[in-house]
Amino acid sequence: MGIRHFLLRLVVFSMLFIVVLMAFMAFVGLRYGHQIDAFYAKLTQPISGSIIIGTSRAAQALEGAEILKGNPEMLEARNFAFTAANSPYGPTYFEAIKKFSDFDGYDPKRYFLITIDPWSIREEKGKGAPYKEEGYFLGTLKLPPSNPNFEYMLRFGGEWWKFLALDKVQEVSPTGRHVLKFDSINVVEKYNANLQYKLKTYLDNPLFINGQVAQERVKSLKDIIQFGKQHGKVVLLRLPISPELMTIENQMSPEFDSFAIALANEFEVPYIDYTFLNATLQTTDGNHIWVKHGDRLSRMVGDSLARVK
Amino acid sequence: MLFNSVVFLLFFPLFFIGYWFLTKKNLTLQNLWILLGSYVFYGWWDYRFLSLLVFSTVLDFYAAKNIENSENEKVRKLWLTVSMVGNLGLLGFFKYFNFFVKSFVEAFASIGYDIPSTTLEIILPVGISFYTFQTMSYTIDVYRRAMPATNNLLNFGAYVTFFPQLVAGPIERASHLLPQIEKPRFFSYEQARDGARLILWGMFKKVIIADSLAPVVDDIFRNYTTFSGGTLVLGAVFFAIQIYGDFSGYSDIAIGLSKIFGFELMSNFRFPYFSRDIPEFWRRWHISLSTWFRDYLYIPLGGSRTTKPKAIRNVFAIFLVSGFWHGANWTFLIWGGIHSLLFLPSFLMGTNRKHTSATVAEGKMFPSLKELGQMLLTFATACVAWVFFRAASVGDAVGYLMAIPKGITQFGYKAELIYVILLLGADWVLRHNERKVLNFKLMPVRWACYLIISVIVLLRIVHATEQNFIYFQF
Repeated sequence: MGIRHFLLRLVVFSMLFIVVLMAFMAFVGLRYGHQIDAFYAKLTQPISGSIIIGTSRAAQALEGAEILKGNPEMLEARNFAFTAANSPYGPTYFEAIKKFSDFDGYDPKRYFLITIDPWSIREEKGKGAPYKEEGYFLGTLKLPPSNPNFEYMLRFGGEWWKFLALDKVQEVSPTGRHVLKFDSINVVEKYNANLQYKLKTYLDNPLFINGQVAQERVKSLKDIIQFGKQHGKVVLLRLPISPELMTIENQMSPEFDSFAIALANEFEVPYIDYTFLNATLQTTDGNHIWVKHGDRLSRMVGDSLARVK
Repeated sequence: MLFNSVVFLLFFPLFFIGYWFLTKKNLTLQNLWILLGSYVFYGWWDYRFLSLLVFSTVLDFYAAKNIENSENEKVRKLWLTVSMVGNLGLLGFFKYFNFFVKSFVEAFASIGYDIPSTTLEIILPVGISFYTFQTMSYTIDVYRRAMPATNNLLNFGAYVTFFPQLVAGPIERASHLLPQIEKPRFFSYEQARDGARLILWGMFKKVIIADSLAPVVDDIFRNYTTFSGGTLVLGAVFFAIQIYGDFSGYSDIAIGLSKIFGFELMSNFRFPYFSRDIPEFWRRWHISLSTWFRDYLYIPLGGSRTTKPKAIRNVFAIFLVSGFWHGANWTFLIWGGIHSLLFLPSFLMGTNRKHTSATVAEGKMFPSLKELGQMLLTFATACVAWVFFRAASVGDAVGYLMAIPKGITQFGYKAELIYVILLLGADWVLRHNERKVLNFKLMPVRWACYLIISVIVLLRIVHATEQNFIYFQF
């Protein structure tokens, strides 16, 4: 037995290896895809109904099934919002929306729920395109959505296979909402610690210290609105956050409200500002609405949509 | 280039094809291929430091030749000194310069003299401690007339740079590896198969065990003031397993790769955590380094065959130098010091060679209670010493150990014990032969193990940030 025999065994092993790997990935993707991470399940099927767009605020707050309860007439919304790092407004996010959608012409029951906030249109002074999100998964995934999504699992899925051993603290709902499980022990202490951490993160954020509204990001936001209007109804939403965080946002972007209103007027779309609920709805860290209150907010959004022409 | 990286997955088949198919019929070409491949392997990290490898190679090649060609003892000594100064100079500058400057300044500051400190931004070349020791051993052996000097610079270059063991050992003696480089190699299915198994096993230890424990160990040692005593105990145990998995994993991969190319390297680890006392631990841990110090430092100093005080001095010398070899930090020196103190009682009582059998609990499934107690005690003392090895400073190490009594019964990170059980359990089964791994009799079991380990290792390599091997820094 020599080198040929060794290589032959190596080839057989490699083939078996690929089969086992694919089978394992398929099993995990199909059976536990919603628990792999915050994004995977959003990338497994094209969106043909309504769509929720934005950053992690929207990803965690808005539940398509709850919105539908408030407005049963609409097409169910899938949550295609990610994080401020991955899906701020820009060419990358716009291209991803087009790539992961399958809209067949205009449908009045289809809603584009575009959530906006000051962070997602900002960039550090002196920095322009290409933006950093271009190098992240939304910018570099080459293949269209598929279930299981082998490309994402292999290239970006983190240590998804570890789910077998770990506690599942997060999952993605069937409509794509990111659900974080916030256990009920020491809730107040945890909330305060999270809030302080988040406030510090925002105050240290270069977008806060040295940021400005990036015109290219605004242009992409407008492109998305335009794209949405071609396929359905567009509604601009501003989601509630904690009062402490609101103070920081107002300090950073005092002009944001007038910008949002001007944007809505320019495209003749509704703008609904839910920040009047800042003190009413509970967040987990100042920034992200707690899941139960997210359900409540989603039903309110549904109600509002039912009343919007 | 790291073994646990995607780029190595591409490098290895290319090297394999060139080695066994393109250059096989010509030994010179094949050795040139080893040299070039090794330079690519090393230069992938930082090509500028290839010059150090070339320097070390050329220096020792010519130093050894001049030693051999001269019968004049003064000339021979002169060339030996040139080699030592050259190699130790490299090591001293890159590894210890800042340490000495800092310690000097701190010493003066402690007696009230502030002198301006000038430290340099020196990058430590990967593996410098390994290849300088390897080349030094060659020159010393030639000087001692223990082996002839080679006349072939290419062969010597291939020996110094042989990529599987270049950056983290085993530290191979020229008398063992050079003859293998000088003669033709033939592919052996059995040797390659055993090599492939060792690679897989090494990857398991490194990627699955050590890399899983690394973030936990980092967290516990960085924030030791916030953890309960029980968790700190676990932290020390986890580090013991992490460094063992990491380093012995590297050695297994190095030995396995070499086997595939027809070479046999020396064993570097023989189940050290099953040692029944500290002397046995040192016969099982980092064997290539401890035997190096034994042959080139301890014995020349007189070893144990001298007066008692001198013999004790020699024990301290070997352990302190061994500690210092690991890095320019007082923590390593103290680690070496602790081991010398732990070694000394057996040494003085003449029981340091009591446990020399290769296998613990030979012919039995389980150890006796006495053996178990001995192994646990040795492991526990080794763990105490590891705290100094791992801590950022001596103060942190002392603080860590002092904090253990508080909350000793409260344990965090309990789930990670699975990695400890996995590795030690597997080691116990394998303890008869460190070279025969994953050789289950039933083929389906064997292949299932291959596949499970390969899939998990690949997924971790693809996703996780590449984790350096701990011993790269030494």
